[in-house]
Amino acid sequence: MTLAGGCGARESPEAARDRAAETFLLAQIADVKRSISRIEKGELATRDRIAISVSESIVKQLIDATLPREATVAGRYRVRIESAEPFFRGTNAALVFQATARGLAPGSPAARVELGGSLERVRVEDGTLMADVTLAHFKVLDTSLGDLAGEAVERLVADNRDILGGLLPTLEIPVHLEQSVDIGGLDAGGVVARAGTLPLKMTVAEVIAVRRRLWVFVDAEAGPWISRP
Amino acid sequence: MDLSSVRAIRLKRHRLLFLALLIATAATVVVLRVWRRPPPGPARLEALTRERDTLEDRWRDALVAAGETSLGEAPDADLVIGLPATLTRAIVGQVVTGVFGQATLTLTGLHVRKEGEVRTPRVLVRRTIGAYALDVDIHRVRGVLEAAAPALAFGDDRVDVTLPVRLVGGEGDAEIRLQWDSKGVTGVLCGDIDVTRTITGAVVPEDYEMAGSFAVAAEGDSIVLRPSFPDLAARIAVEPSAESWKVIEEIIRERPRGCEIALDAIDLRERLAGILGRGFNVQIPQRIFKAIPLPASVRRSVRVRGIALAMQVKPTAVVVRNDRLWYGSDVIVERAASARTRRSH
Repeated sequence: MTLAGGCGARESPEAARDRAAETFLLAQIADVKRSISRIEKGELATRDRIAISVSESIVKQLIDATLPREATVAGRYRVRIESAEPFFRGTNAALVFQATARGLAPGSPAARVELGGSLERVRVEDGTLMADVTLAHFKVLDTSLGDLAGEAVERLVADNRDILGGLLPTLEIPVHLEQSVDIGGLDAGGVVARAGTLPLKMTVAEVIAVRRRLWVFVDAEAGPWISRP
Repeated sequence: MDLSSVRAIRLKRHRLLFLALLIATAATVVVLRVWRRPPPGPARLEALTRERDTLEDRWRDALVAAGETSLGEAPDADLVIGLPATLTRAIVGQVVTGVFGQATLTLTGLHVRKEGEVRTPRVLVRRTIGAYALDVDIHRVRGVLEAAAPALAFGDDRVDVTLPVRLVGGEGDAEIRLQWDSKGVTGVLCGDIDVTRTITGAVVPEDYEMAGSFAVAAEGDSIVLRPSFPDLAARIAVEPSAESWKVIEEIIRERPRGCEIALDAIDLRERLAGILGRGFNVQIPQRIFKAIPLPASVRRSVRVRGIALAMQVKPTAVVVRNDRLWYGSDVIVERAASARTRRSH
């Protein structure tokens, strides 16, 4: 039985990737259908919200600029994240990171690995649009370590997900959302108008990744006007 | 065959059966483990990709049908910001009504003089019975403005604004001086007069309409609404208070009865009401409208994991439509240190 359990040959990286792509596409199709249904039922209203649309290219540039980053997993492997590839399709804001894993001993063989994540918790913090990058899966693509070692690396990473998650940045999207509009006053020729501030309250309402863009819809509430002396 | 032989055979059968079952289970596990549904081929993946893309197009169409009418005209840029017309309307409306709601118009040191001769009525021989001079020194008149919600119309590159403005009231005070130089027989009955009194009054409400526009301009990394309004010529008229009219009447009553004819002929009340009621011009400069920065802009720098990143921002387009004001920028991200180095070369 033990033999039977262990004799499953590891799939080729291409087959594993195609299988993952199929699963991902099916999920995207289901999610887009759900989103369309929400729009048609009036549950997804965007008209009165600020729309911010960010290309995959900007997010890639922002993350790549902070890479490479590396961490030691379970005191056995060194994982180095090299580059990121965002996929804003099918309402999913996915990110795929290319990385390498290598044993700590000098001359240890290396494995090419892929980390899958997503952009989560898009929010406005102090007028800045921010998002967390969370890790969803980790896959050894090809390895000179051998199948068993590859699976061992995956298991180790799964057990130490937080360590790699810590390498992934909190993303600042380069959009500034003002928290107020300040207007100066006037004192000229007997006409006096007081300066004032119009407070603004911004909250992220919807985040939808479609057609290679990340759409963030922000609720904005203006006022009431506050006069300044 | 004895009983023990039968039991031995049964036990053997059971063992064989258990072994067969064990082998069958193991075989099933091996088959399930080794055999997997084959991975999807390129045709399957292409079909799913096409289906997803078609659905994404439908998603976009659904959004347009739900009211995002200008979505197709949004700039094609790395970073696009679409401000809803409802928000722009709320911001412009509250800013202009806020600014006007607290605005005051103040006039000081105004002087008006009316003078003339008074003659007897036509039925008699026309004679000059005296000359008068009425000086009104307005110390200070302060009017208070209010604005109602403006009407906004979104054009190609501007927002047209019609703003109802009301001079809601206010108050003022003035010193009036009446000089009367009697002539002929009136001099005997009435004598000369030189009296000065202080009066107060209320600003007469008046409605105006200011029409202009805010040009939508990309300035730096943000969008600014730049005002273009003509100066508004407002007129402040003052209605003397009831107390002030009593003061005026007392000027007449304090005179001997013979003076009434002369003073009635001057018609002090009418002349004063004419001077103050005609009003005084005040120019409200267009500078009262300030540029309004819209509240979403592209940042020139961000920090990711403590690393300063600089943005090269290139605005691509500003599109003003009835539902949204769109602006787009292409962005190149680079580490701040390398950006500094590049600029210094």
